[in-house]
This record gives sequence, structure tokens and C-alpha cells, in this order.
Amino acid sequence: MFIIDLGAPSYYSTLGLSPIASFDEIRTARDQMIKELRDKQSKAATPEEKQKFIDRQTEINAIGETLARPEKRKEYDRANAHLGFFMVQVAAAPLFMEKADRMHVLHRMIKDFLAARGVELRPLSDMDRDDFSADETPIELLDNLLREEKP
Amino acid sequence: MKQASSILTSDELKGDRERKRAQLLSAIGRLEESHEPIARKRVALAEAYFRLAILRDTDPEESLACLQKAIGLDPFHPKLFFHLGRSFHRRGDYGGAVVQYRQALRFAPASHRACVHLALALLELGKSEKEIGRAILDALSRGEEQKLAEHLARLDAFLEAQSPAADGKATAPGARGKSRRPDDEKPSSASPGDSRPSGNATEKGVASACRWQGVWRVALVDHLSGPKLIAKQIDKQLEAGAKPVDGDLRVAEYATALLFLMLSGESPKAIDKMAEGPILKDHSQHPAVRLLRAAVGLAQAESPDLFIELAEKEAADGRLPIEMICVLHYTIYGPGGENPLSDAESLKLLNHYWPEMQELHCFRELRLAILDGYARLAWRDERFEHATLLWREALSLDPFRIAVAHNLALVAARTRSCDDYQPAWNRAAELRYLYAAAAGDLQVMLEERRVMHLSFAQQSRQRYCGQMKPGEGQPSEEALQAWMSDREAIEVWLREWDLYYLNSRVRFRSPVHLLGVPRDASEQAINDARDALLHQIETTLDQQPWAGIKTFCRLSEELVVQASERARDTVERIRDLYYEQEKSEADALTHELIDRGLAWLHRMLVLLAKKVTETAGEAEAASEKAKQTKDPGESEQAARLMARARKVAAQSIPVGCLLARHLFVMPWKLLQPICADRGLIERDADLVGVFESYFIALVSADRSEPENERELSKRLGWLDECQAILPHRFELRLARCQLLMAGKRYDDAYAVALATLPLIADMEDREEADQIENNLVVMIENAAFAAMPESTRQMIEGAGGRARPPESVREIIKEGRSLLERFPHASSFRAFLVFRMIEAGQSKEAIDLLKDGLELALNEEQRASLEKALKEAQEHTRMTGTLEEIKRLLEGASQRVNQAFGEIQPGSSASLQHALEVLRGAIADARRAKDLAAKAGIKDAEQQAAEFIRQLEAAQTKLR
Repeated sequence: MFIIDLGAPSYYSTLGLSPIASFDEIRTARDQMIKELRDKQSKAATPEEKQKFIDRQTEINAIGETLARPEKRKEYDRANAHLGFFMVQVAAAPLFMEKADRMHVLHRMIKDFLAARGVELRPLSDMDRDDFSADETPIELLDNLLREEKP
Repeated sequence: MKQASSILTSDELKGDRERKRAQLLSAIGRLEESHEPIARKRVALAEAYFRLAILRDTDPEESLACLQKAIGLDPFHPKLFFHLGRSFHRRGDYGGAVVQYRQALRFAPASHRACVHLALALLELGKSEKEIGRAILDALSRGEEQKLAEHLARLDAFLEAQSPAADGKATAPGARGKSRRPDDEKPSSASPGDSRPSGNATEKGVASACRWQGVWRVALVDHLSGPKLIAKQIDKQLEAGAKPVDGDLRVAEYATALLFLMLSGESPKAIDKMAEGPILKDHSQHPAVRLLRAAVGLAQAESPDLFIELAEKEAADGRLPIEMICVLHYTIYGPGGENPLSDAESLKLLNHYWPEMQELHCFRELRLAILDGYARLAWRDERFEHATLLWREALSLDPFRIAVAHNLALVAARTRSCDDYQPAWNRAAELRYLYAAAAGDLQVMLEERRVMHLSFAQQSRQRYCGQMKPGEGQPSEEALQAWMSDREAIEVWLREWDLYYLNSRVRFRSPVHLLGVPRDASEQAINDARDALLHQIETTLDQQPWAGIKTFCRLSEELVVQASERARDTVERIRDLYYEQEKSEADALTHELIDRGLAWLHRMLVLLAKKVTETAGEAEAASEKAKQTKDPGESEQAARLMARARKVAAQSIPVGCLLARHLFVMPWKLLQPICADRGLIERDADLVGVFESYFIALVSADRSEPENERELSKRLGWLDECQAILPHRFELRLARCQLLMAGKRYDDAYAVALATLPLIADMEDREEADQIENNLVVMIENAAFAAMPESTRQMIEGAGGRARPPESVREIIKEGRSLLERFPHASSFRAFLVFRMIEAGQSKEAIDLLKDGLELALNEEQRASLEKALKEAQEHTRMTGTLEEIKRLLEGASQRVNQAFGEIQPGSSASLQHALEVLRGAIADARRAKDLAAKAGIKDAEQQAAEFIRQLEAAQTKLR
């Protein structure tokens, strides 16, 4: 049976990161790894071991070059969509998870709660409104036609 | 406290809106027909479309279209761009929203309303955009116009660097129109206060208050949504919020802000203290303040049970909404909460709530959130069994929660549980289709479906071919062979990529991109594209065992058909709003499709064909050599190679059929010109013909005799599959005949060949048709001979050049007649039988058999051959009669002469005379025989007769 491989190596796993890591995290991880490899390289006992660390640094740099640049990262993510997809998803309603979503959901809820008690809570933004009649501009030609249309 | 009152019922309000809509539509119609001066008409029409767009019940797509029309008529009105931005914002297109808000600001640079919304849209995007958004909010809060201008300039530079104006949306670099007074600064009764300007007029370098009074709340909410709370910033926002506007203290807004602060992590004690401040202290009976106090009190409950007790009381008194209780519970007692419990304790605690609470939807979400939270912690700690348990319980609360199904499928993959894996992923996929089917909208969950299918396809490919870097070449042949030997992996790749492709196609809003045709495609091309997609939907999507898939397929088919109708409409094609916007994506998808067909499917098919052909060829050559040399070592080698060839064929042909099925459903009629344009093939190349040749070579390479009935059935099954894929290729039927012959199923081979012959007439290539026809006829001929029993064959061959014993001939004829009944069209066999019959003296029957055969002749060659045989048979019959007559004459003459000479008595003239008389008669008969022989051209008989005459004449002379 073909079973997906959740542990398959990727650029992200090489840097010890999740596919949704931020660019800062990527750069930090890359720099940290390069630093450690350089330390090891300087302490290497044989030329072969030294070369091994040099090669590894080249590899890490190449990975960083791809992931730390938005366009290249986009291409890489596109070619490896499974890395982002085969991750655990949050099943809880946004109300319980994302702070921003929680605020907006609660705001709507509080607005309704207070409205039921006769209090108007002003919308946070126009994203919470649906009445924009105040934005209408009086245009004589149009308004005359509309008046004519009125029963 | 403002009283919110409803003068009209909701039905009445709805009716009112419907009337307004009707009036606007009528006014639009009348305006378009009117002969007003163009400028006045355009402005009025733009306003009419705008008002239609902002009506509450207007469908989002229609609203978008109306706003775009309005912009087309009045391209410098900032409010149109603002509301277009709001439309994009609402549908989650934050990038699009930013562009439109920015455009609005170009025409109304002083609009803080547009600034705030621009900032809100930026906060939904990436890190850099968020930074700019926050900076804008900050500048607005501080009233720093100069800084605001700088941040906008920074945004412009950022947008310029990100994407040049290629997305078809309004970007208007440097576009400047007549700057209008921003509508949001007009006094309005709908939203008083927030939009009224306050503070001094802006002067350069002098801070002024933000004209959008709600900016402090927006900035505060954004800050509270971030990871870190900075007290100074919070204080600043609250300070701004504490200021009355037109003498009105915003009690509700301020109290709500404090509530948010508490929910973001501020201590309830601190919030309690703030609530005692000057803003709220005199409003303890305000519902918002009571709400705040109730929440603070609950948050300070000393134990979970006290929390629940207090929550019940507050809910019963109407001071606290249920959702607030649930959120507070989660933030305090949930996973990662302030007072976290173990998962068992946390779940047990939920059962302490009063029964009515436990029935509520929000509470069910709380329970689900807790289960999910602990399950994710278990996953993180690799306690997979525990994670499975918790997620399964979450699924029982909501069987349609995609994320839970997805996570359970991941656990099955992680633990490599063969029992759970397939059902779990089936369910996760099914739900993603079911939602769309239930909504009647293919766009629902579309991106998730696309990514899901692409992910599976990529995983399969990368298992053997490694991670492909963009622009990298092809994997090695070894990698491809290894991949193809994993049947399941190939099936997954083939199926999932096709599903990804279908979902990618239906994503396009431009009809030509949905179909995958060029903008100037002919009607035929559009129809071909439509038919190809419909066929793919039928063969790929419709076969999936998911609930709702039939509905989904129906929706897809309708969409494809609609797209083809729209694509045929020239006007609609020209007006295609999405063509430019979606072009690069559409081109990329077509490129992917071509890559898949040419670089992957075809290449794999070629590899398989070469491998099978090579191994079969090697085996055949070895067999031939072994036959010739009769060396046991060679025979052994030949047997080994044959076994290897069979094994290779058994592995390769089923995979080849799989690949071919997916290769041939691709719309090559449309893709071939694109391939030629891209220089991938010669313009006059027959791509499909090439594909078909390799596929046929693959399936017909193995001509060996099947070892047993089982192998024969298997190979026939492959041929059936191949024929289903390429029903028009008769070589496959020929291959089937050959296989049946090799498997000694002569009657079946004969029947297939016979059934195929009439179909050859439809072939375009007459040369090829003739060749196939010849091969089939040969097959028909050979079937009869091959079906002859061994004993009969030995009788025929055993005689060598000698005459066969009569009983053998009779046996051969009997068997032959029986075979001819089974293979009546085998004319060569018929001819063979006829001559055996003549041999047995059954000339008349033989000639009748030949005449029957002429009516059954399959082609001219057979007819000619039978006519020739008939002629020969008739000639032979005639010849036989003549010879018999000559023999009778000569033998009779000889007998009489011998008798007469035996009766001669010495001295008896009577006997002498009698003998002479007999001699005379004999000579006459011999002469008759000689004449007959001469006429028939039978030289031997003629000479024999001539010699006999000479002997008789000599005897006659002697007697005289």
C-alpha cells in the first residue's frame, strides 16, 4: 500500500523548521547552522572531515538561498506542496484559536448582545457594516428618475 | 444611551430594498437609452451602479461587477475605488483590496477612512505589509500626516517591487484625478461621529486628530491580536478612546475594549481597576459595563467549579453571553490556558455545566476545541494513539469537520496503519468535495482540494524521483523504472494529478482559461476542449466513491458547458474581465499538462515498450538459436530468457495500460499546436500516432506461446484493456488473434479475425488496411490447419511421397470435413481437402466443395486461389477419366490378344484367323488409346500405347 511519508526530508526539515516558518526564522536557523558547522570545521581533525563540513555549509547556504527569498521560496513551496499540506490542522473554531479572529467574532457577538439590550456598539470598521446609504452622492438626473419610479 | 429601534420589520426592510433595487435597475435602463449629454449620463449611471452595488442584498459578484462598471463610467471617483477595495477585502482578496484603497487615496488623499481600511487590509498580508499597516494606524492615531504620507510612499515602493501592473486591477501608478472631498467626511446620519472631522485642519508638521474616530479601536484590536502586548501602546489607545466625541462618552466601545484587553491576557484585577476609572464608573448599569464586570468576575473565579457556578448565574441574569463564557473557559482551563488541566480533567469539567448549556452550539465548539487542543499536544509528543482517541471523539461531535478528518488521516499515515489509512484519507477527501457539492459552489474548498491532490501526486513522484527543483531536468531511467514497478505509487500519482488538474481548471473565471483554449480558438477547438474536460470528469471524478461526488460532477459539467457557451460568444470573449488576470496561471497549467504528457507519461511508456521489446527480442533470438543448434545449454538459456521476458511483460503491460489511459484522455488536439509553438515537436508531427505506436509495440512485443491457460487469460485481459483504450487500432485485434493462435484457441482466433475483417473497411490508410487484412486472412487460413489433430497430421506427413493407404485418406477426409465446418472461410484448407477427396475418387463432391468455397471467399486472393483449384480439380477429374479409358482399352486389348494367342492351335487356320482378328481389334483399341493420350497430352500413356501398337503390329506380321 502506498502511504505518504511524513518524515521525508525537505529543505525545511534540514533547517529544523516547519514549512510555515517565517523568513526571519529561516534566516536565523540558517545562520545558526552555518555557525555551528564552521565551529566544527575549525575543530576537524582531518582534511576529509573538514571538507565534509564545508560541503554541508554549501548545502545549507543553497537551502537558505532558496527559502529566504520570497520568489524562490514560492517556487519551492509550489513544487513541494505536500510539505505544507501534510501538517496537522487546527480543528477548533477560530473563536478559540486565533486572537484576531476571536476579537472580530466576539465583537460581532457583543454587538448583537448589546443591541438586544438597546445599546448600539459602533462597528470596528466598514467590514462590519452593511448600510452605506450615507455614501450615496445626490445626482439630480438620477434622483429625479428614481422619484419618478417610486409608486 | 442611544436606543436602537426598528421602525420597520425585517420583511418590510427587505421589501424596501427590493423596491430600491428594481428602481435602480429601471433607472439604469432609462439612463442608458436617454439622450442626455454624455458627461451627465455617465456620472448618473456611475452613481446608479454604485448604489446598486452597495445594496445589502446585492450578490458579492454582482456588486463587484457593478462597481467595476461604475469605475468604467466615472474613473476618478474615490468612493468607487474605496468600495471596490471593500468588496475585495470582504472576499479575502487583501492584495486586491490594498490596491483599490490605495487608488482611492490617490483621488482623496485626506481620507482617513480609506487609510484605516488600507491598514486593515495590509494587516492580513505578509510581515512587511503588516508593518506598514501598523505604521499607518500609528500615524493616524497620532495624527501625524507627514508620517502617514511617508508610509504610503513606502507602501507604493513595496507594491512596485512586488508586482508590476500585470494583474489587470487598478494600480494607476501616478494617476491623478480631480481630488474630491472624501465622502467619509461628509456629515451623515448613518454613522455619526466616527466620520466627522474633528480637531484642527492639517498643517505641515502639525499633528491633527484622526478624522476616523474609530481608529483607536482598530489599532488596539490589531495590537491585542499580536504576540506581545506593549503597555505603552495600549495605554495610548485607551487614552484616545477615553476622549469624548461631541460630548458623547463611548461607554460601550470603551468597555468592550477593556474586555478585549482582558481576553488578550491582561489580568482581571487590572481590568477591574480600569473599570473603576472615570470613564465607566458612573455607568455601572450600562449593559456593556455590566458585561465587563461579569466577565471580570468570572475570570477571577477561584476554582473551576466556582467558575461554572458563577457562569450559570451570569448567563441566567442575562449579563454575560454564552460565547464569552466559552471563550473565558478555554483561555483559563483549556490546553495552554492560564490554569491548564489535564485532558481528562478538562473534559470532565465540561460535564459539570448545566444541561441546557451543554446543548448549545457554542459549547459543542468549546468541547471540540479542547479535544483538538489536547490532541495536537499529543501529536506533538508523538502519543499517536492518544491523539487518535481525542480526534475521534472530536469527530463524533462534528463528523463533517475537515480538519479533524485530515488529522486522523495524518495519524494513520504516521503510524502506517494500513487498516485506517485508506478510509481516513478517503473521508478527508470526501468532505472537501461534499462541502462544495452541498454549497452548490465548486469554489468552496477548491484551493484545499487542489493542494491535497497535488500533494499526493508530488509525494508519489518524489518517493522515487527525489525532490525536483524548478527547471530541473528529468529523472534517470533507473528512477523511473523503480517508480513504475510500484504499481500503487503510480496509480496514486496518475489519479491525484488528474484530480488536481480538474480542480485547477474549474478555478478559472475566464471561460477560455477554464477550457484551456486560446482566446481566438475556433468553435471546433472549444468543443474539443469541452468534450475533453467532460470526458475527464466522467473518467476521473465520477469514479470516486465519495458522497456528493455525483452532485459535484454535475456542477462541474454545467460549469464546463457554460464556459464553452461563453467562450463561443465573441463579445463575451472580448469583454472577458479575467482573461489577463488569469493568463499567466492558465499558461503555467497548460505547460504543466504538456510536461506531464510528453516528459513523463510518454517517456515512461517508451521506456516500458523498449524494455519489453528488448527482452522479448532477446528471448526470441535465443529460442531460434537453440532450435538450430539443439544445444541443451542454449535451450536452457532460451528458457531463462523467455521466463524473464514473460515476467517483464507481466509487470510492464498493466502499468503501460494505466499510463496510456491517462495519456490518451489528454486534449492533444489542442495541445499539439502549443507544443509546436514551443518548439517541443515539429509542426507536422503526429504526436498521438507516436504515442499509439509505442503503446501498441509494448502490448504486442511478446509473441511467445502462453505457458498455460491462466497466462493466456491474463494476456487476453491486457489486450482487452488496450483495445478499450485504442478501439480504432486493429493491430490490437491482430495481436489478439496471434495470441489465441499461440494459445491453441483456434476457433476463437478464427472468430476474432473474421469479426475484425469488416471493420478494416473504415480505415483511412488503405495500405495499412490491406496489410492487416492479409494478416487476418492468413490467420483464418492457419487456424484450420493448426486445429488439425496430430494423428491426422501424422497420416498426412507419414505417407511421404508415397500414396496413402485408402483408409488413411478416408480418415483424413472425414477429419477435414469436420474442420471445414468449423473454419468454412479457410480456403487453403478447403483446397487441401478437395485434393484429398479427388485422391479418394470423390471428384464430384470435391468440385461441389470448391464451388461452395467460392461463395465464402473473403477476398480476391482467396477467390482467385479457389477458382484455380476448381479448374485444376476439374482438369484432374477429366484427366483421371481419360487415363481410366486408356487403361481399359489397353488392358482389354492386351487380355484379348493374350487369350487369342493362347488359343492358337498349330495347323488350325481358324484359330489363326481368330487371333489375327483379335489383333486387328486390339490395334484399333490401342490406336484409340494412343489418340486419347495424345489429345489429353499424356505423353507416357501415348508412348505406352504406341509401344503396344508396335508390339501388336509385329505380332500381326508374324502371324501372317
